Amino acid sequence: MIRDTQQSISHPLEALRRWEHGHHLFFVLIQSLIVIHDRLERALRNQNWKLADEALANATEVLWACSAAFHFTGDFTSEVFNEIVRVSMEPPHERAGFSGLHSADHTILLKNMKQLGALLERLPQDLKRRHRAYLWAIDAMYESHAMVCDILVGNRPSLKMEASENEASAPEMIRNLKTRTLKLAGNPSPILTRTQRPSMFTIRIDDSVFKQQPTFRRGIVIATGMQNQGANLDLEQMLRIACLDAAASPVSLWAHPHFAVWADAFRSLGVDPKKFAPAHLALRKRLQQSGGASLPFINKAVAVMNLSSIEGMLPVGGDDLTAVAEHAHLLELKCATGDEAFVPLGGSDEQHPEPGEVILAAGGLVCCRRWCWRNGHLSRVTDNTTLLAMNVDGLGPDSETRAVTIRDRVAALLREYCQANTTTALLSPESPEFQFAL
Amino acid sequence: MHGTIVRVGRRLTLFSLGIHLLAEKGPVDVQTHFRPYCLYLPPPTSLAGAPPARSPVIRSVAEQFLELTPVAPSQSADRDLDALMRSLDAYLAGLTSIASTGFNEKQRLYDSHFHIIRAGDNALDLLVAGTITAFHSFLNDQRQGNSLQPVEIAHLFSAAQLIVELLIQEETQR
Repeated sequence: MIRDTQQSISHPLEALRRWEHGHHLFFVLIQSLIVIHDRLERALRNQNWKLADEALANATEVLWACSAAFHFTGDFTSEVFNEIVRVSMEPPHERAGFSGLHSADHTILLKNMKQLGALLERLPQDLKRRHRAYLWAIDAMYESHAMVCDILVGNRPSLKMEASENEASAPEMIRNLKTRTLKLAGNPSPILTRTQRPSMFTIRIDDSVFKQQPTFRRGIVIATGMQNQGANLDLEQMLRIACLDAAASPVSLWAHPHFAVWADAFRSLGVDPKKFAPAHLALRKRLQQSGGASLPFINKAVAVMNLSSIEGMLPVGGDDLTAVAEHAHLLELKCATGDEAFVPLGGSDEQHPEPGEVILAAGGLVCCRRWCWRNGHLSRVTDNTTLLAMNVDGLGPDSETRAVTIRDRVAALLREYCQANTTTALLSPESPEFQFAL
Repeated sequence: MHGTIVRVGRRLTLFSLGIHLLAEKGPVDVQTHFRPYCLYLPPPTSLAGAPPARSPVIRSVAEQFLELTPVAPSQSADRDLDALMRSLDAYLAGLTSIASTGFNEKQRLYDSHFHIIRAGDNALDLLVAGTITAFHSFLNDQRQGNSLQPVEIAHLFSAAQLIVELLIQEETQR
C-alpha cells in the first residue's frame, strides 16, 4: 500500500484517539473474518464451490480493508507514537509485554485458520486464482503492518519482544508472523514479492535420494535467452532418424543395462516399473513397438530432449524456470510428504504424490512425479519458454560419464537450434546443489 | 453494569495520561477529543455458526447504514449517522455484559485497554452494532485529516458495507 511520508496527526490526544479507534476497526474486521472463514470452511467441506468462491472473495476484501486500517491507525508521527502512544501501553499503565497477540479475537482467527488450511491446500483448479488473490491480500496486510511499525518504531523491538529481551525488530517479527499465517492459509509455496524475490535460483538433489541411489548423477543445462518458436528441419530430421534407428536396433528393455538399472531402482523405491516406467524406457518401448513411427514435433527444446534421451538411453527432462520462479526459487528432487500438489501435463485435476515418492518439487508444487515418470503442467516447455533447466540423469557404474556426455550434447543442441546461452553443472553426493542468477 | 465501570475507569486513566503529558502545553478539553463510545462485541468463540442478525432494531439500523454509506459520506449523511448511533446506544444500553468470559488475564487486559465490552445475546447482532460503531468513529476521525490514499478509504467503506450486508443475510445453500 502506498503511504505518504507526512502523517496527519501531531496532537497527542488525537493520536491516542486514532490509536483506539483504529483498533476498534481491527476488532470488527477480525471478527468479520472469523465469520467469513467459518462460512468458507463449511462451503469447502460441503464442496459448495460457489459459496466457497464468494467467501474467499469476501475475505480478500476484508483483508484489504485491514491493510488500510493499519495505515489509518498509525497515521501520526513517530515522535507522538513513542512519547505518547507507546507509553500508554507500558508500565505502569499496562503490564510489561503488552501486545496485539493478546487479542482473543486474533487468537481465535488463527485457530480457525489452522483448520481451514488443509482444505485450502486442496482447492479445485477453478478456485486457485481466487485463493491466490486471498494470499496476496494477507501478504499485503502484514506488509502494511510492518511498514507502519517501521515508520513508528524503526528497528526497536515490539513491547512484547522488549519484555522478553528479544532484540528482533518489530517489522522483523511481523514478517515472521506473515510467513506463519500464509502457511496456515494454505500457501502452497512462499509468495515472493518484488522486494523479496531472490535473484538466485537453486537446483538441488536431497540427500535422501543419493542415500537410496548412490550412483545417481544429474547433469544440468541452464538455457537462457532461448528462442523456442518455430520448427527446424534439421532437428526434425535428426529426431526422425533417431526414432528409426531405435526401432531398427531393438533391445531387451528389462535386460539392457541402461534400462534395467532404472527398473531396479524404481523397484527398490516401491514403484512398479511396468506400471510407472522411467521416461526413457517408456519412450524406447513406444518406438520399438511402433516400428520407429516418429514422435510428434512439439517444439525445438522438446525435440532436443527426446533426441538426447533416445540416443543416450537415459532420462532427459526439462522445466520452464520462468513458470517455476513464480512459485519458488528452488527446484528440488526429494521424497514427497504427500501434501504436495501435482497437475499432470495436459490435465487439470490436481493429484498428490505418495508419501516417500521421489518428486521434482518447486515449493509445494510438483513438476515431475516418480523421479522421471511423468511431467507436470506447471513447468511444461512451450514455444514461449525462454529460460529452461534441462536435466540428464545417469544411474549405474558409468553414470557420471554418460550424464556429462549427454548433458554437453544437449547444451550444444540448445545453443545451435534455440540460440540459447547455456551453463552446465553436475549434481552428485559431493555437490548436490547448483545455484545461479536468474 | 460491569462494562460501564470498566469504561469510565479506563477512560479516566487514558485521559489522565494524556493530560499529564500535555501539562506544559496548556489545558485540553477532553470532551472534544473522545467520543463516549465503547465497543460492544460478542466473544469470538460465539461467532462460528451464529444465525444472522435478527433484532428488528439492528436490522433497521443496518439497512439505514447501508443506504447512508454508498460512497464517502456527505455532511448531511453524517448527521443521519449520528442519529443511527443514538438508536444503537439505546439498544446497547439494554445488553448485559459478560466480562470477557473464558478469556485469560492478558486477553481481558487487552480488551480493557481498548474499551471493548463483551456481551451476550445474538453474536451477529452485536457484531453489526460494533461494525457500525467502529466505522462511525472512523468517519469522524478521518475528517480530522489523514494521509490515506483514496483507494484505502474505498477499501474501508467497501468492507463496512460488505460486512453489514453479510451479517444480516441468511446463508443460502446453492
